[in-house]
Amino acid sequence: MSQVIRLTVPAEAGYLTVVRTAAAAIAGRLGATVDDIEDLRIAVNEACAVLLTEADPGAELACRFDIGDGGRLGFRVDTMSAQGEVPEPGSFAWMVLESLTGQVAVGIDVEDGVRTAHVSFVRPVGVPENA
Amino acid sequence: MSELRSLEERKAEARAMFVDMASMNENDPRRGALRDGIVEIHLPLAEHLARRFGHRGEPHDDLVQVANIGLIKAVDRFEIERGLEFSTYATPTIIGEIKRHFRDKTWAVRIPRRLQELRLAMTAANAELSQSLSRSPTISELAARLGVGEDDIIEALEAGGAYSTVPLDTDPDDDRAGPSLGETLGVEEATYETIENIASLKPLLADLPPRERQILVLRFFEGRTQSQIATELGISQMHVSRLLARTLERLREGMLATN
Repeated sequence: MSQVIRLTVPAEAGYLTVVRTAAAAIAGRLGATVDDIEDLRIAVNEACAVLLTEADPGAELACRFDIGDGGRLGFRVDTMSAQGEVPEPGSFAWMVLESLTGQVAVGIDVEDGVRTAHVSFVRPVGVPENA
Repeated sequence: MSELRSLEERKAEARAMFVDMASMNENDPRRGALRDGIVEIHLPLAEHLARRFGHRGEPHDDLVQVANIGLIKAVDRFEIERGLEFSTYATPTIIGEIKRHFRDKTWAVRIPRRLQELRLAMTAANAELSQSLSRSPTISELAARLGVGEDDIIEALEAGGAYSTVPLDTDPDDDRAGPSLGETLGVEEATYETIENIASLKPLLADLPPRERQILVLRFFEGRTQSQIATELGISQMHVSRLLARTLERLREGMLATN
């Protein structure tokens, strides 16, 4: 059964520590290794950081962690962005995320005239076999 | 109105003050006022330089103060006879002062001593456990080994990251002479070219210290784990993590600056 953790912070660099620490705590709960946790932390930071510059003034980063079956952790961050772009496949940010997580998705949504940008990834954070 | 004076006028005024000061006896009481005047004229320069180092986790006011100290040092050391423009002389002095501040004080100011110590103990425990388990340890394994709570480990991991305290200079031990990127990567040069093709990255990659560049390539383009890279380079996994985070931060800042 999957569980969801939502965390919303102001879209400012100073608050990324909150998201990174949450990521580490969640992965730690799942029994992930330090290697996995450090990668996850970098990936979460990267996903949020690429949206920081695109976010509207005063916007928030809406983060969502999905604890899936089989030790898979999903992360998605959304922010309001009237004109922002998301990283393209082949861009540096994309390559970093892909190498850290294996599965990256980005997108722009427009709903009721509000434009949002998101970056998401799924990453296995399985418990080591000999734990 | 002093605010309305042009840059050139202010420069000329500062130059005249330096000339006055140079003509005075060491103990001339008028020197103090001239010194203050020159400092005041250049406060915007210090402020401007401090701003360039913002967003690195240090309060802006603190950075301005540090920059001002650099400015005062520059005023005291400047020798007008050398014919150099003061701002040309002062800029590296001020930047040097800011960098020293980051190097000496940031860590101590921002990270509680308890966490610094835990961080050091954790680096050692991480290495030992990685050895005995033949894999990277989990949070609970580290916590059990060190006799602390899992929260403490998570906190210490975050404290050790290079995210909020980005050193401007590489660590002294980063300067150890090692094989160049090309030598180390050998046949893997092609991958390096792939990243080089991302145009905005090119100059930034060229600016990276060789080891940072190598770690970046190994982790993100060769798919090595942090532990593998650590073993290969003979440094701790924590250090690899820190270097990676710092390098990404640096590249991101650089790309923003060029966009």
